[in-house]
Amino acid sequence: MKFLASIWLTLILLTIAAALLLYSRMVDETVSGKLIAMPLVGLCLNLMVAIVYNRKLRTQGGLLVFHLALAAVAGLAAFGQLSAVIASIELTEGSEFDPNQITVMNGSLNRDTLHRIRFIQGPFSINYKPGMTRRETYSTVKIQGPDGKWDEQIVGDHYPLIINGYRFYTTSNKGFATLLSYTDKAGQISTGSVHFPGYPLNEAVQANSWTAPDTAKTVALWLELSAPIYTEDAQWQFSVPKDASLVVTVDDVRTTLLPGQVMPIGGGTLRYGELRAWMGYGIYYNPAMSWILAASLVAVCGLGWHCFLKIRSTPWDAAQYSLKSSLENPLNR
Amino acid sequence: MLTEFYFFYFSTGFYLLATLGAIGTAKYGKPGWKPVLFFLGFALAGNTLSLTLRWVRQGHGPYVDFWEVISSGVWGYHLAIIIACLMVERIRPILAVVLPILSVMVIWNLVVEPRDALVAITFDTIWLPVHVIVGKIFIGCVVIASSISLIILMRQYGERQELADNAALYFPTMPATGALDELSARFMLVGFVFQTLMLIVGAIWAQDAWGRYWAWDPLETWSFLTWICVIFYMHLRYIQHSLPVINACLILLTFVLAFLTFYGVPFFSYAAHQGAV
Repeated sequence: MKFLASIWLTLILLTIAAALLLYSRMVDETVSGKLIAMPLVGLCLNLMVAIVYNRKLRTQGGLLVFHLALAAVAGLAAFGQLSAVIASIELTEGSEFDPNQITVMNGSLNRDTLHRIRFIQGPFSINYKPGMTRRETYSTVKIQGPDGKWDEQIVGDHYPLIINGYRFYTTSNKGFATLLSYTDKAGQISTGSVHFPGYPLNEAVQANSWTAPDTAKTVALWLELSAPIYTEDAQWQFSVPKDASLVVTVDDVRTTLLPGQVMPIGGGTLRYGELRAWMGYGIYYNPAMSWILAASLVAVCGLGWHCFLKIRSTPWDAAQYSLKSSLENPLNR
Repeated sequence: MLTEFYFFYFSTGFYLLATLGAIGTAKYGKPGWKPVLFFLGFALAGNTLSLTLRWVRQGHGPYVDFWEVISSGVWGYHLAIIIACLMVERIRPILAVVLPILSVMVIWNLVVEPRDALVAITFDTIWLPVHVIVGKIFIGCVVIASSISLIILMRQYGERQELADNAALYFPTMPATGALDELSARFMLVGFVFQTLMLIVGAIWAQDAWGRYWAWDPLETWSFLTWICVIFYMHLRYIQHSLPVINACLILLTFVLAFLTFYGVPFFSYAAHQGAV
């Protein structure tokens, strides 16, 4: 039982937690949160047992508060590992948030709450300084209030959209999306958008592929911009070019479409509606984090109080101190 | 040349003069610790003016461009040393140990090219300067504790090599090794409180900036490792009653970890939280 209270066990558990975290960050992102939560639960128990076994920890108020708060931080961090969601999504201007489109998800609890989120991506602007330095992002989103009315909100890199505890932040990832409509043989119309790689980062590779709903035919799409939308040595603003054309390659035959134009594919027709922009969002959710912060603040208060009492007991400029370790060592003379 | 650089070169000159003065005082007793502290005072005044003018001109604190990060580091460490030497007169000889080491940083500052950098959008928060200030207090405390630790190790070395009749040959006017060990522990205690605060304030900033309090990016991970190192030192020092020489080694390890976290990690990390770069 004494081993459960030892600082060596703390070190072992911390090492295991660190190794798992590093592995999950650098090798395999799909490492289960449950696995990482285990050493954290162990740390919480280790600290609790240490408080029970170590009289010094119980009799010194500041130290007791510090260790109790640390135990709480470890326990809450374990809960956070199980419940946190870190994800990303690309949203086309005018489209509604669809949780099924989310990628890179962590956490194993509370995913269902994402399905209750509703908002529509509106237009956005991004300012650039000379030297391609990205500055402010102003992304408009429309949120439906409880009265059914749609309200607008501006979201930025550090002005998140917060819904049900989920925080949506704009990222540097954004680009162009073509709005396509496909009419099949039966006259059924399917509409959707195809996103091209982030712009201007992937300016040279503005290409993607698309498969017609009723055939297995995959067509190659290439977005042809007449000129870059940026000026490298001047201020500029991200905008959607009006004259971009879509090059569609089917069976090695290239067709160039302008907005509004159609072409036959298989038995149906493809219509290039218009070019829009898409915005990439980072999504974060961790119900434990506010509590971890509160516990950390309590910990630092306890620690500060303990240190204050300890330091106040003897003046700084006293050369002789009555501390055990100072007197018991042969080197101290 | 901008006025801020005149003050920078002025301060650099006085920092180096103070270093020479400290070595001279330790070896020959001249010019004395008071003149050395005066030199440091002039240097610090010049450094303060240089940083202030730059802050006003650029509209952001000295935590964006690497040159200004080093310059503000030099400022913070010297300020911590001056305060410690004014508070505890008998530890003034640590100046002869710490100033030559800090001189490396002063010279490093001379060879790094200053750039006018734009502050990132996510750096536009009150929590960042608070995070930087408490971080500087932490590392300032560690610098003082490390200087004292170096003297403990030098005394130990002297005894091992039988270079002297007693271990206090090195810096004989300074307190006994046990008292130095206690002093360094005090600075580490104060530093530990501010280090914990630095991590918490940093987490609040991260939440404000990127939507998460903590994400184990390289800088966060190394800061946490440094925190663990201090905790390990505290437990060995206060529970296991470890020898001063072991305590000194752990304090120096903390300094190395903290220094690498502040100035090393940003060179190989491309995460959002890039620290100095």
